[in-house]
This record gives sequence, C-alpha cells and structure tokens, in this order.
Amino acid sequence: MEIKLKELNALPVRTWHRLGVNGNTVETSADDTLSYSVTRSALPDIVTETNAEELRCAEFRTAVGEEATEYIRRESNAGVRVRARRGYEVEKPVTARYSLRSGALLDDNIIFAEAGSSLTVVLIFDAFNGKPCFHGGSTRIIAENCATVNLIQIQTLNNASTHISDVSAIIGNGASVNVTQIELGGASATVGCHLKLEGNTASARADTFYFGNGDRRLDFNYIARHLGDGTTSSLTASGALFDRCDKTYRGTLDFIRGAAGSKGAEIENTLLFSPDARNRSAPLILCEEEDVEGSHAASIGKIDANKLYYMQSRGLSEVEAKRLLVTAQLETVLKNVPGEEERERLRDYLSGRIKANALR
Amino acid sequence: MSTLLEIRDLTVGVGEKIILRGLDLTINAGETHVLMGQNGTGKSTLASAIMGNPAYTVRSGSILFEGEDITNETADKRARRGLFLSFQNPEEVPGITLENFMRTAKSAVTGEKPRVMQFRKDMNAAMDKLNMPQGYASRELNVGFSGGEKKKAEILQLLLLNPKLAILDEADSGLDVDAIRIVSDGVRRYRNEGNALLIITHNAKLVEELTVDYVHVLDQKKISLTGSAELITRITEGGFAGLGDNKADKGGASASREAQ
Ligand SMILES: Nc1ncnc2c1ncn2[C@@H]1O[C@H](COP(=O)(O)OP(=O)(O)OP(=O)(O)O)[C@@H](O)[C@H]1O
Ligand SMILES: [Mg+2]
Repeated sequence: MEIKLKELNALPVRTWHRLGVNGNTVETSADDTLSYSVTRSALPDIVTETNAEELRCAEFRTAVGEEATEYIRRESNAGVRVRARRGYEVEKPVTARYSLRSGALLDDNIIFAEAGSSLTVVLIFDAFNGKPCFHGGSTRIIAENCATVNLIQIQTLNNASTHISDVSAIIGNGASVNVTQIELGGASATVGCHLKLEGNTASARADTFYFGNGDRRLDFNYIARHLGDGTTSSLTASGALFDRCDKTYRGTLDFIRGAAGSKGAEIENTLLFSPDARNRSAPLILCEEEDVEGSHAASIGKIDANKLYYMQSRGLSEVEAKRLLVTAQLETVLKNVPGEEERERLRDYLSGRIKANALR
Repeated sequence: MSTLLEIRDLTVGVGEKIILRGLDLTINAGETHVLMGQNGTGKSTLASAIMGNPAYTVRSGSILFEGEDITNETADKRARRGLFLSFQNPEEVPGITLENFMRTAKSAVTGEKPRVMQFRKDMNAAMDKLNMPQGYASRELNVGFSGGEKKKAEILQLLLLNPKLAILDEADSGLDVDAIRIVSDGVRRYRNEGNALLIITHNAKLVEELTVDYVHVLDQKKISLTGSAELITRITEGGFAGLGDNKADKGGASASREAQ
C-alpha cells in the first residue's frame, strides 16, 4: 500500500518559511499485509479498557497534523486504551512492545487518568528484520485534576522503516503529564507532541533523545499551550547527529491570555558529529499574556577539539569519547524508563550503533 | 634504570609559529624532574607535544616512550602506554560525571572493566586523601569546579590511573596553602621507583617535600640549563635573570645525554 501524508509537524505560526521548517511530507509504501507480534502487560484491576467514546467532549489538538492523526485513527489496527480509576496510583507500568515484520501498524492509544490517579504507559516499537514497515501512532492523554501520566515511547525500528507519532495531552488542575520519547531508528521519524496545560498549576514535561545516523530524517514538533494560571512546561531534546542525518526541531511555548504566572522552558542539546549532517531548529515563544516566563537554551555544536583531546589524554579513543558523550545524553532520559532490562537493551543498542558507525 | 621518555631534537610549532626548537630531554624511571621558565617560553607546549595534543605540530625530531617512537601517535594511545598530563587548564565536559569518566578512563588504560563497587571504593579513598567531598564524584566533569577543585580533580585522576610518567603542568596554581600540601602529599604517594614525574611549576612549595633529581630551565625555545634541586631556590630568590652567566654550564640529564 502507498502512504502519503502531507503538512506534518507544521508550526502553529507560519513565519519560518525561509528556514524550511514548515510541515514535511511523508511518502512511503508498506506491505499490504501487516505482520507483527505484541507483548502486553496484564492490566491491573484498577485500570480498565476505555474507548474513544469516553473522549467525546475533550478537545484535543494535534502536533503532527489533522490529516495524519485522522488517518491513523480511522485505519487503526492496534492500540492501548486504558483508564485509571479515580484516586488510584497504578505502580506497575502498562506496557506494549510491538515487533514489526511487515506492513503498516497504526495504533490509536488512549490514556485516561481520572482525578488523583497516576499511570505509566510504555510503548515500544521494534522491528524483526530489515523489511520496510510503517508505524503510525496517535496517543491521546487526559490527566484529570491532580492526576499524573507518564508516557514513555521507544522507537528502534530498522533503517528502512517510517515512523509517525502524535501525542496530544489535556492536563487538568494540578495534574502533570511527562512524555519521554527515545528515537533511535527508522529511515524517517516524525514525532509531535501537543501539551495542553488547561488547569491551573498544571505541568508538563517532554524529554526526548534521538540518535541520527545514515540518511535518517528526524522531524520533531513540540508544543506547550499554557492556558491555566501558574502552569509549567519543560521541553528538552538531546541527541547526536552522524553521517547525513537531517534533523528538524520545532518547539513552541504558547502562552494564552490568562495563563498568568506560567513558565516554560525549551532546551536543546545537539552533538554534531558530521559536517554532512543537517540540523535545523525553530524555537518559538508566543505570548498573549504578559506575566509569563519563557526561555530557550540551545547548545548545538561539533564536539570541541580541546574537550576531545582532554578525554583522549585519559586513554579514551575518539570513538569511546563520542560514545560516552552520547550515552550520557541517553542516560538522562533513561531515568524515566521503567525496567533495567529495557534500559540495558537501549544502552547496548546505542553503543552498538556508534561502534558500527565508527567502523565504516 | 630504564628510560621512560626520550625527546630528541624536537621542534614544535602551532600554525606558522615555532615554539620549541631542537629540544632534548630524557627522563628515566625513578626520577623527578622540574621544568621552570618564564611565562610563554613553551612549557605547556612541551607538555602538549609529549601528550599528543593535535593542535601542536611536531616539525622535526622525535619522542620516544620506553624506546618506542610515539611522535605520531594519538593522545589516547600515549595514555594507554602510561603517559599522563595534569592540565594547566582542565577542560569542562558537561553531561559526563567525574565518576563515569574515571571508570571509562580506567578501563581504557588497563584494558579491563573495573568492578563498579571496587572502583567506587578506590575512588572514595583517593578523594578522602585529597580532602575532596564525595559529592564531586557525581558532578559533571570539571563543570563549575573552582580553579583549585579542578586541579585536585586532576590529581585524583593521576592517583586512579597510576601512569608510568606523569607531567604536572602547574598543578599548584590556584591552590591555597593547605591544598598545595594535600596535592603535594598525593603526588608523593604516587611516586615510586618504577615511575617518574615531570613537574612544571613557578613555585618551590609543591616540590619542597619531594626529592627532585633534575631542574630544567626552558628559554630560547629549548632547555637552556639543567641543574640540581638547588636551582629552584636560586630561581625563586633571584629570578631567571640571575641565571644569566650560568647558562653555559649545563649539567644533569641533558649533559649525560650528550655524553652518550
Ligand atoms: N594554540 C596556540 N596558538 C597560538 N599561540 C600559542 C598557542 N599555544 C601556545 N602559543 C604561544 O606559544 C608560546 C608558549 O606558550 P606556552 O603556553 O607553552 O607557555 P608556558 O611556558 O606554558 O607559559 P605559562 O608559564 O604562562 O604557562 C606563547 O607565546 C603562546 O602565546
Ligand atoms: Mg603553561
């Protein structure tokens, strides 16, 4: 089947034409037959299955784009749809690990945390072999008053596959949503996250780590929309670019009138390991409200020759020094990943990629 | 007595500029050498050339370590042979903790992965000796360390990596009196019959408690004078100008090399 999706990851305001950071297009094909295996953890008693009906009156916004998310939801063939009961803190994460063999996996996920509950969901997208697959995911999150939702998404698809993921959250009074995205594979990954801080003192975090090698195209769009009083958001993206990797990052802090006393911070840490890698960045801070604090900090650069020499003078080869720098970035997001086994898998995966990259 | 380092007729430049020309130096196991010289004479450049800083080009001459030519080797290979440089200005490396860095470095120089618990014990013991709070282990490498703390962290690395030849480039600058004593104790503890030291300093304090075998003066792009420990007193009291006439009477290591 052919898949063509346009206007993905568009900026909320179109002012960046010249930089080429407006929406991208994904055009790919996948086998007609979907083949994959999935391992899902059993749901604890206090978590029930839910469905889109229960979301009817919630107004979600998309970061990846209407066209793509509607397509994913309409054609959906998988998904984790869970609802945590009022006041319950669910300790065990709800996990779904997909291994793709062929075709297009379209998962429509819903995470509903009733007031005062807390819930962690882990979604892992892996590939069996080198066949090109397509993964499109839509994850809608509702965190009612004082609820906490942690979403961890891990993507280790093969280098021929295409990945699109849209996360959209609505966050109530005193509630918090923490999204961790680890993007290590794929020919192309389009990742968007829209965090709507609706309630007073709502808070949101998006922690992203990416690894770009070969001809991978990475396209990110993060939006924190501050509506309530005293809301806080933090968008952090760290990663490393090798070879001819092409990365675009968009981060928008949108302070709507009335969001008094709100704070938002965007942080980008990019390690550039190749002169042929392309790194584009469009940080945007929109303020309708005056009483807010928005900040953007970026450290984007080649690894400093003096720092590299310093590390080498202690016995580390150039590759080891680079591996250490990149894995240190990974460690900061691994803190959010439950399960030592999965953390080890990701460390090994990344180390292996960096070593293989050095040998070429 | 085995020769650790042998520098022959070394000319070093940065860009178009020649900083060292025709420099000779030999350091044997069991020796402590002190290198002095006015600001900007090229002491750090010599240290950089020995360690393999790619910013400095060896135009001619050679550097041998344990009899093998390392002139064209990268810094990491030299470190794995047992060379160590305590930097005059240590680099800050964000994102990597001191402990993680040290564990990686230790495994790089020894070729085996140190056991996490044992390594932590050794590291804590070394930090105690240097009067460094253990919280520093989990801080990012040198990031936000004060000048003196950076120098202590360099000596900590010296103690943990235990190299054959350690070059200390102004390990004492920026240290308070007590810290100099602590660092000097640390350096003394490191020294044994099988290893050697090349200490670059402007002060007598750091080397007071050490047995110094040779003192070299760097001037006019080369080692212009070599003498015994008493040369340090002469320099600290009378300055480099006072050495004037004596520059001809070379002695010690360079002389013995010339006699070979
Ligand atoms: N990377 C460089 N680029 C340009 N000039 C350099 C560079 N490194 C050193 N130099 C020059 O070479 C000379 C020697 O410098 P070096 O740092 O080796 O001196 P030093 O003897 O260590 O001085 P100090 O006692 O002040 O530490 C100086 O004139 C310095 O400006
Ligand atoms: Mg110097």
